[in-house]
Amino acid sequence: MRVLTSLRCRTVRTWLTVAHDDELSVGRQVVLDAHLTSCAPCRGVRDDLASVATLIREGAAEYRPDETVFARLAPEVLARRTMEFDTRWRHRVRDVVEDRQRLWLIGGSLTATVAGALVLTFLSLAASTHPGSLAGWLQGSNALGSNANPLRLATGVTLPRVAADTRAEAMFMQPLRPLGIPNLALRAVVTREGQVASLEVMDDGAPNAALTRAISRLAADVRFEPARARRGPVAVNVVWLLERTTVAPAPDVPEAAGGD
Amino acid sequence: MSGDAQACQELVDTHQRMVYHLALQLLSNHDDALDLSQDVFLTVFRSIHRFRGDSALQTWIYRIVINQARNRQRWWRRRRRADQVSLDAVIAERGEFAAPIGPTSPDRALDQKQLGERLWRALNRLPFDQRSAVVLRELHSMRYAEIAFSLGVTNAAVKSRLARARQTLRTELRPQ
Repeated sequence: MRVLTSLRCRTVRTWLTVAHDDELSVGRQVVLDAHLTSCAPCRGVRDDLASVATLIREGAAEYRPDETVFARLAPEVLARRTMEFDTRWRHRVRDVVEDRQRLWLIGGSLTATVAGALVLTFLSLAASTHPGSLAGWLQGSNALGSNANPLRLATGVTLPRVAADTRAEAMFMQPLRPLGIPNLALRAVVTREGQVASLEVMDDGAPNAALTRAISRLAADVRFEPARARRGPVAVNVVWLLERTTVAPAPDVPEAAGGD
Repeated sequence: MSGDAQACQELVDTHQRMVYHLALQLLSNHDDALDLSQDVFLTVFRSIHRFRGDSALQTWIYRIVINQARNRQRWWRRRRRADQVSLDAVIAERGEFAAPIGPTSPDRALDQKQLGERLWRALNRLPFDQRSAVVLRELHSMRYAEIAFSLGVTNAAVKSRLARARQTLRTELRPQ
């Protein structure tokens, strides 16, 4: 029975501190209260806990800070905060400078960025002012419809037309001397700029170099309005077939015919 | 920025007494408590965006005070400063203990005063986590759940720390 009582007291004493803090469940509180009415040692422990709490509170009451502490705490905190805000960037920069590895990394990134920006700027400027530049070549050399890669005439592509000023000049052009050739085939490229290029003259199915040179000289002054596709002027392959024709005058009709 | 400063001012005004008192009760030194209070508010301003509302703002600030005070204790220990506060230092810091209020005899008042000094000496000797549990419970009337959040432990751990701390303090009440 003494063992049981002792065990019970030990259990109850673990509850006493919880009861002192008002955190004990109602059921246990009832058991505890019943035990305390009949157990003087446990009541002593309860009183000790109360005394400890009282002495701690009385001792803490002695910690009465000067009210001026609170008058200066907020301004000091705000001043430190402002100072911290101001110096944060300085410290960061200093840390970066002290950390050489990070400095190299940032420096390298900056250099690469600046170099990339310079190259892009250079390319964009070059493309707008120098069609034959590297940028121009990159943009248009391989594109379908470029001078190096002309289109075939097909639907969606307007035919190149002889420019009006060229037609006027053609009136003063010296004609070729009589060739005595009945039919010719001219194969050429009308470039995006409206010039005739890669001219080749076929005479009876075979290339004729002399004729090609002669006609090329004439064609150098010819200007076309270039063929156009949806995205703008394009270079096209063109074949002209020239056939010599003779226009004979109409035969005279005797007036006597049908006159009677 | 001015609105920001005003909000900071209001936050400090609202919580400065609680922060300072807790810091003083844990560190037993006015200058350290003032310094810690400033650090606590700077930490609050820096990390207020991480406050998720899992607890009351005040409980969250309690937690910051406890953590900073614990860090200072560890730092002191590393610096080999005495982790035991002398009674003379305590009395020099906060003055003599007041006599209990009420009509008591001079002898009894003296006994109570000596008892109080012994008890506070014992409180200062407690491990930091036990001392903070006692301070939060007895002086700030916090519930176990709030103490558990502030200390970053479970309710059972709070109960255990309080029981052990009180057992130690009760021994100081026994006649010597």
